[in-house]
Amino acid sequence: MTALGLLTGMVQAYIFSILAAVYIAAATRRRKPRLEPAT
Amino acid sequence: MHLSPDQVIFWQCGLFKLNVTIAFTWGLMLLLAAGSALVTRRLSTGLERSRWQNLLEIVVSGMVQQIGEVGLRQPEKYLGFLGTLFLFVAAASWCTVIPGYEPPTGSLSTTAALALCVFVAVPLFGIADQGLGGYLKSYVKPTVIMLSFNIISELSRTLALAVRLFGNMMSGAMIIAILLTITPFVFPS
Repeated sequence: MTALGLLTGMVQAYIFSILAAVYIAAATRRRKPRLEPAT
Repeated sequence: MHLSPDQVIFWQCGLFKLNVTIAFTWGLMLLLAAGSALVTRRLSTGLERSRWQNLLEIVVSGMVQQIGEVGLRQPEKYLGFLGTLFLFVAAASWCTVIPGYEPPTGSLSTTAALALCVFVAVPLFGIADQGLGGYLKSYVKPTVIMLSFNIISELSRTLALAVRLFGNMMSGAMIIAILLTITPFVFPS
């Protein structure tokens, strides 16, 4: 049970930090400028 | 039995209470700070490195790789914040092997504080990357109608972060308490 608890804690820490990274990535994402069609 | 570590009071003086959550949070912070100072004391850039430095480099490069895979450019810029979050939550769980220890992440106060850190950090990193105007413009994309929805999503995801971690860390103790509470209704004496 202790090992399972440690694994759960590790997974929770991973999820929390990855979600924080995803939110930061969403806030820092810049859209690429649209390319003008070649004439 | 107590459901939250906030209920265990170590010391009280008037309105000021020193509960288990505060005590163990500061203990963890001291442990992480002292550990960081110890493991980075004798770092070398040469070919001969200690096994502890190798382990540290594996952990740090793993974190950088994970942050990069999420889609962040220059992952090293975010390593300090995200790595600290990861290590704090992980250390809070790993210390449960110590008898008498209560993880501070089992308290909604701690998880809400961590989620608030993310809530503050996200716009700061966004402004640093795009500038204030560019970041504020992202709220009205693709149309102005989305402004309110974007604001709601900012608030709701902070709440979700706090409640998710709290729920997962407390679920074990909570389930036992709920079972003990409803047992007399199921099996009346």
